[in-house]
Amino acid sequence: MRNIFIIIATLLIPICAVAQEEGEYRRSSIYSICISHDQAKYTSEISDVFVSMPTPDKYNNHDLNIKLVSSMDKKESEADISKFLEANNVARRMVALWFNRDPLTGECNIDKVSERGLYDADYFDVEMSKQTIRGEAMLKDAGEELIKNTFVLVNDIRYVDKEKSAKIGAGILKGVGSVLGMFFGSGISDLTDAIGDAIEDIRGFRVIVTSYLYQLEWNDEVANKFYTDYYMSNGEVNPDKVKAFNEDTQTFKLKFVGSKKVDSGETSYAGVFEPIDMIRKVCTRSIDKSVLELQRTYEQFKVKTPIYSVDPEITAKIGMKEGITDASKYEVLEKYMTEDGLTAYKRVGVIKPIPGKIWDNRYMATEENAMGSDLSATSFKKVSGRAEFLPGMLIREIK
Amino acid sequence: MKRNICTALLFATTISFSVNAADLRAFQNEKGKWGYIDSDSNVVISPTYETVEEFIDGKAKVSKKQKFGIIDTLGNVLVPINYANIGPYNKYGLAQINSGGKVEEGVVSGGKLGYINTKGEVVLPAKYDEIGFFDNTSTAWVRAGKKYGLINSQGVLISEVKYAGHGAFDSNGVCWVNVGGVEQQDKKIVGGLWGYIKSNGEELVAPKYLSVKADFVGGISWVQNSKRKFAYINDNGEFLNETYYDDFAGVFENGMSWVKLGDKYGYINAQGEAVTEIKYDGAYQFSGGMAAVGLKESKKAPVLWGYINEAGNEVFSPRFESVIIKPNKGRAFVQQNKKWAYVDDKGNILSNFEFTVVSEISDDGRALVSTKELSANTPIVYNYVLDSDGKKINAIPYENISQYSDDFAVVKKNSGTYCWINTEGKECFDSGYTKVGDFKEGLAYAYKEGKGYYIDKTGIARISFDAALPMFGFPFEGDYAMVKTDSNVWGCIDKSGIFVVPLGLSTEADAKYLLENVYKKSKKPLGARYVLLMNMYKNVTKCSIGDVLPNESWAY
Repeated sequence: MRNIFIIIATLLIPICAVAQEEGEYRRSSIYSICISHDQAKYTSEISDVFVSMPTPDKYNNHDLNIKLVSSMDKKESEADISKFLEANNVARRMVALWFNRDPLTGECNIDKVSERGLYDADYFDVEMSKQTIRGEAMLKDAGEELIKNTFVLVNDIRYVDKEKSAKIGAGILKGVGSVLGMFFGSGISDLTDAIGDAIEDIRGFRVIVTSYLYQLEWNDEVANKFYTDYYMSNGEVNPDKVKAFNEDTQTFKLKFVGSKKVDSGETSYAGVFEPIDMIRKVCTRSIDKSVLELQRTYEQFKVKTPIYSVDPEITAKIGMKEGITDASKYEVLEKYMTEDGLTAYKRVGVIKPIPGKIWDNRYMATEENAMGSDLSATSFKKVSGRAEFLPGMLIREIK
Repeated sequence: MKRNICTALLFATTISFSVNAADLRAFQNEKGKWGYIDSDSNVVISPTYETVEEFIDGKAKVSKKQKFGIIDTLGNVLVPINYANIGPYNKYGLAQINSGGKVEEGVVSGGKLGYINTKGEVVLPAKYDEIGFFDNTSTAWVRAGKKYGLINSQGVLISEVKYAGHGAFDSNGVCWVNVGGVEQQDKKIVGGLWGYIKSNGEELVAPKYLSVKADFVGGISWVQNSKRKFAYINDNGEFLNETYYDDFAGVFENGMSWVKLGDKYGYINAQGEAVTEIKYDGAYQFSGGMAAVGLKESKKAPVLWGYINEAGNEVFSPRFESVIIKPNKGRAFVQQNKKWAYVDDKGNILSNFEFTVVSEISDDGRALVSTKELSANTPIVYNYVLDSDGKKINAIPYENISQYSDDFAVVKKNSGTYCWINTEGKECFDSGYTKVGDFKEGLAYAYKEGKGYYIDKTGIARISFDAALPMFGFPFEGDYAMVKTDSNVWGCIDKSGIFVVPLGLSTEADAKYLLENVYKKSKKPLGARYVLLMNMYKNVTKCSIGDVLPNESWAY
């Protein structure tokens, strides 16, 4: 474990005091995969829409390059998905991604840990070079709060086929291909013709999404093994270590957390300008909904969000997409360091949304002219706790 | 296993949340029916509903026998429970209602649509097949069968439902409408009569024309009457003049439009007034203060060309074989015996008729010309620059000259090397470069002997880098510039001459992707590994669930 401190040259920082803007806080990391059912209708369109979707809000993008996994079955099983992830050593690869590991030379760095952990590079550097207890705690802290909170979200998106009423003309999709090219490698150019020819009524477009959640297992044993046996600093040459890591199929594991199934149900056509927008809207909202369900069920997947402002009202950049209703309640958390140098949180109050001031941030809500879509944050009022909350304090939903 | 989506949603709501300020909470009795209780668990609204939703502003959506309605906190029915669906309220306080639709697996199909307001009053009866979204004018189109009508933000119909099609309202709140036409599968309207409607529902121009322009430009549009003739109208719906033309430009440029009556052309201004007689055999739109006009002496004679000015006077009577149709800043070219000469808008011929090829005229009056005889298959090259007086500014002809950029033009010398000339035609920074680029924001690329440079306007190399392979550097965009080798391998350098994205990418887009998404986050020059990863990412994004992919495919 010691050698890591000598190895790492450009390290990072202890916790930043108070995040002032949305975005500057520690987030969980997520790798999203889509199961595509190659024989089902709209498969290529759904796949293309999926790869162009941004990482779910409040998470860091931890994507590996395999984004689509095709299946000939009508619906995939958790067993098959788990088998795929294990056989392909996805856990090991996600650890490698955390340390920007070069697959050819085995060289690693902790730039990503630094960036996502909001460490002060200079300070951490000093602590590291001194090989202090404090330095070791920082690395442990990063493992506890960052690497441990790494998830794989496998979304099995199934189109629900049914007869439709009205029709939309062929060729209506022409020209939309370009807006999809957000993720390299997707065969988006075929999309327009494919749907245009199909002349489908997109208004009844509906999907069922089953989301399977896995969490990276990261504990002292795994961390020690990685730092001691596999971590190689820039310039270090050791083919044996490279080979050993590439062949390790035992150390790194993903743990199945649970799954949720959501039905997109009826989705308003309002604001949809092209059929592909409808597919995007239905799929995006459904995945948002399944993520929300997973968050509500599994504590470790629940996100914390910073308070955005406190004057004149307490606001946060969450809304109906995160499932806020008039009856929601959130605890306000204050971050502090334990004596061991680990980051911890304590509740300092409870807030609830102000009716009528809940932001409708669901995908395309603005285009729908939905009530609350003209807001940019949800306003809260204090239920209990400290006289004053501060921007940057984190909030988390409670029951 | 059909289950209404609302019911499914309700389970979650009931378990987790109280439902409104009055603290009513949904509950389900042993028969599976839903009602509401207060915080002391007293039944406030009896459990008689199949589904219920939370109270918002004192109202909740409930259902019986798969029909929806709205009740208040006392259980009074505000909206009768007989709609196949009631949608969420939009920002105008309108909720869509569906009457007669079928609900299957949570999906509503068929039925007629309308709107209720927040009081539960039906403001738009449910008799429409489709309701569009509200646009910037706070209006929306509704469709009943194949006819469209317009509603305002109160949901009130403000035009008859009689249009076969409509356009989108422009910034002045006007759009085209059609009556009697047929909508094709590609949404185009064929046939019928056309006019314009305002966003308050009034017809600006009654739909009685064969065709209209899709939109107003500069407050002017046109209509086509039943005799297929055209007339200009303004944005008050008034005709600019009383004439219907056989043909016309369709738009005004520099406040002028050519018009055609019979087989003769003339010009009118944006007030509809005649600028010239209608006497020409050819006419083009005004550009740079002049317009090309053609005349022929007899029916079989060729058309000869000249120019008129904006007063309608002939600057050059139509006597040339050809003229350019895009004069600029009072300068143009005219052709005689296949050779061009430079002219001004005062009727002066400023150069000899000696040029075989001429370029567009720049805003400062410069033009590139060639005195070489070029065959049809030869790429166009220019060997002289003319100034605004028609004088050659370079004494010696070059192999080729590019357009000026930042007051310098790249020239290819007869020796095969490149340098620049300034606006006076003087050669600058001639250092035997084998590749150079245009100046942009004070810097230009130059390459020779395994080194790339960006030089400033004094010729000093501000940035230099080793370039083992011959390569071209594109202008800096901000702090970064793309570079490309002769074999189309891309990378990116910064203003220190450091390759922040190493060479090795096959497209500019790949290099830009790494620059924007990787380098700009880490601010550390990327290693060759990222090129490798990028190429992997590009090629593999999908596999089968039964696959065990090699390390190379995963990249990590």
